[in-house]
Amino acid sequence: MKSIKLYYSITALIIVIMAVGCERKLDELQLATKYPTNPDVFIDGLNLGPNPYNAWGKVTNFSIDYVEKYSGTASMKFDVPNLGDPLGNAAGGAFFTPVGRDLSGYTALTFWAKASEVDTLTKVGFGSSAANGVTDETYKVTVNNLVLTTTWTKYYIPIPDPSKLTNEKGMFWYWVDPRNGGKGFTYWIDELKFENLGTIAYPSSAVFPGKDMNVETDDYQIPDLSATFNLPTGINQTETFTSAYLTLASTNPGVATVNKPGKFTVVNAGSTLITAKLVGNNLQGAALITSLGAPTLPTTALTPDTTTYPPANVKSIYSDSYTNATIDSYEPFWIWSGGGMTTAYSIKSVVGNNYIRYTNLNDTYNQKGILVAISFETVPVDISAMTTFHMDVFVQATSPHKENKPIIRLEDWSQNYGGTNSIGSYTSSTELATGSWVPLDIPLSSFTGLSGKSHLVHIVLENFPSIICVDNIYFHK
Amino acid sequence: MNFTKIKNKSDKLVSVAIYAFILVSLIGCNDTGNVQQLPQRKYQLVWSDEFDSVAGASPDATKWSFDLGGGGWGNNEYEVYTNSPANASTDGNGNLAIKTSLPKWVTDHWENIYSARINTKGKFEQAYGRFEARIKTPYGSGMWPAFWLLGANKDTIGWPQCGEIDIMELNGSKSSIINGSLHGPGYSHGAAITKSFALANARYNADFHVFAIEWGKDYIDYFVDNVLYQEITPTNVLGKGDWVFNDHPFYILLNIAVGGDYVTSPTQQTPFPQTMLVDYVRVYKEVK
Repeated sequence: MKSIKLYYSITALIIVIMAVGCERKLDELQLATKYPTNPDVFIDGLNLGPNPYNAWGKVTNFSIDYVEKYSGTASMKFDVPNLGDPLGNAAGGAFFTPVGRDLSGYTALTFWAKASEVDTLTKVGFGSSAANGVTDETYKVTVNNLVLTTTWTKYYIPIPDPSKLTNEKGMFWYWVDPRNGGKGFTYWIDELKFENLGTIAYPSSAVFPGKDMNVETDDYQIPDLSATFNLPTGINQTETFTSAYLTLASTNPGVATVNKPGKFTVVNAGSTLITAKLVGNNLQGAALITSLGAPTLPTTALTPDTTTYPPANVKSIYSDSYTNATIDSYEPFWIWSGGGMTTAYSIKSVVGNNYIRYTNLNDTYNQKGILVAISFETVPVDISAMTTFHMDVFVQATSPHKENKPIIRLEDWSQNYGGTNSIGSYTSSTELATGSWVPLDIPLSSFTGLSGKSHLVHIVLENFPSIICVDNIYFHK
Repeated sequence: MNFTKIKNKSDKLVSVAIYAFILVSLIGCNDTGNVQQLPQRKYQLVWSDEFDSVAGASPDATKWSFDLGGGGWGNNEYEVYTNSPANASTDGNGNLAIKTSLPKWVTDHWENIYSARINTKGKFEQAYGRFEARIKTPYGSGMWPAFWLLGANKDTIGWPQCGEIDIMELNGSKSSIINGSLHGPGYSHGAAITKSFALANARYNADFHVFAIEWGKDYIDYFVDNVLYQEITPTNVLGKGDWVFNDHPFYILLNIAVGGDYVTSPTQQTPFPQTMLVDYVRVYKEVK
């Protein structure tokens, strides 16, 4: 707690000196409100400033409509394109101010909206800005799948903790895919503004920052969270938001400090309790962090034998020596655990060679430990012509979880797109050595159940120790 | 004039004089300097339930009976009323808790919505006086909590001839609005005489509020937190039907209905289960 106070005091001191330049006693210092508190985003025109808008998808999707409106003289009109529109498959954009606003006196972004047909806004929220070309999504909030009707209706997006938004530029953002058979539609938004409502109640949220963790000295970003609010209309609405809204504290700053939004930095071996709360909403949680201290990283690298396995005979997923697949995610925990995993990964380098390092590999949701998947669903990989799977593994000797009869699964969608009906599974009969790179070269015939090979989408690692490095993941013949 | 303030429940009181002047604080007047002028009335407590029993106790059977079952209750309501302490019991903190079950969402609707409805029929009935209850409402779309009175002659002459006085009912989709209504012959269901009272930027379920009527010959005055927001007299039903509130006693009901004609159907976004907390119900007679 002391470190937090100190941090804010220093910030306050700097701001006050810069803003007013007068002397005040240290204990009188408060964060001065120096940003405008204007709540309006769009009333009868954009109430923002110069260059207030960035469009995504079909970039012409936004216009101002002077015929259709909820009140006043104009509304915001958004044309969601049909799937396959050559100018873009979706309507997206962000509205922002060039100078931040102090929104700490408001509790929600509200607006009136209607659509040309009953349809769904895929994502809508605030806290995303690109003022002066600088993207900032520190305090991003998202409501997913907001259903609009053909009559003007009021919608609400609660602010998880208003006290955090003392300098916010991101006023409104949206991303809408055509849903109904890929058919586009039009929707209108009016009276878009922040309000101080006493009629939003009963937030609930998953415990945060999450599960207890065994970690090493490093920076840890707490993942996005979700909370459910009861709206003035009596319905429950769930929104997701960044962990920057949490007010964090560490009981043992000698082990971990918490002076960045949504992050904690583990600085030494030991244990500490990280507590997190949403100020003003009476939500809190905690996780026990046990640090092993500094990591033990590989000091050497392995490189593939490109003479024996020239690029023409290789389909590479991750290697500095080949052209790699397009990897969507190195840790798509959402596939497996419903958010229960705390796995972290980083790309590291030794002697000029990159490798992937996984820490805290465990699947707390399934309670069986140690699972990660490398996913490349967007561009599946065809390994029909390949005969062998290769991967180099470095197991850290101090890895807290020792389960070590690795299972590797290859998952293919060639027979059922979107379903994993072809899963080839290989279980090692021996444990992996620790402290050095171990090359695995496994014939595809050893992956039992692998019937399709033309649309490989996931490589799943299971029952590995909880701290590993992997490199040179490729198939060859 | 006597300005004795209404005391809270820790001080049992035998008589009170209602404010002659009450500050209009919430709605209907932006000028907070204005005052509301009310006729001076003196009341004497004649019946009450303070709900001070231990946690889990069923409502006092000498005062309350249960309405049981489902079938829509004339309004296409979804709930089934039980006499289980799970649906109506004291909470051990001085309140009666009327609770819905946690129903099950099946495909597109909720199943197994249980709740409770209690009444004082045959146990306490009175014409005229002040009827008040201190209530923290449930919330959420589809919720329809109520504190209301029915004419004790309902079984002989039927509804709406018996009369119905709704002291408080709330549509859970409008968290800051309650309604006070009057049903009688020629003015019932959607044609009832009604008026709403809204909190400025706050929800009824966030705290306790005192809902009351003061009822005498040819008038019924409706109050929220001792602010008069509606007076209904025979003039209001002129041309519609008879005034049936001058000649027979009424009994008290408390319930949470779910769904039905008055509210929207509960959706998947409705927060279940829900609880209505009733701190007390008190009934007074006017003394001249």
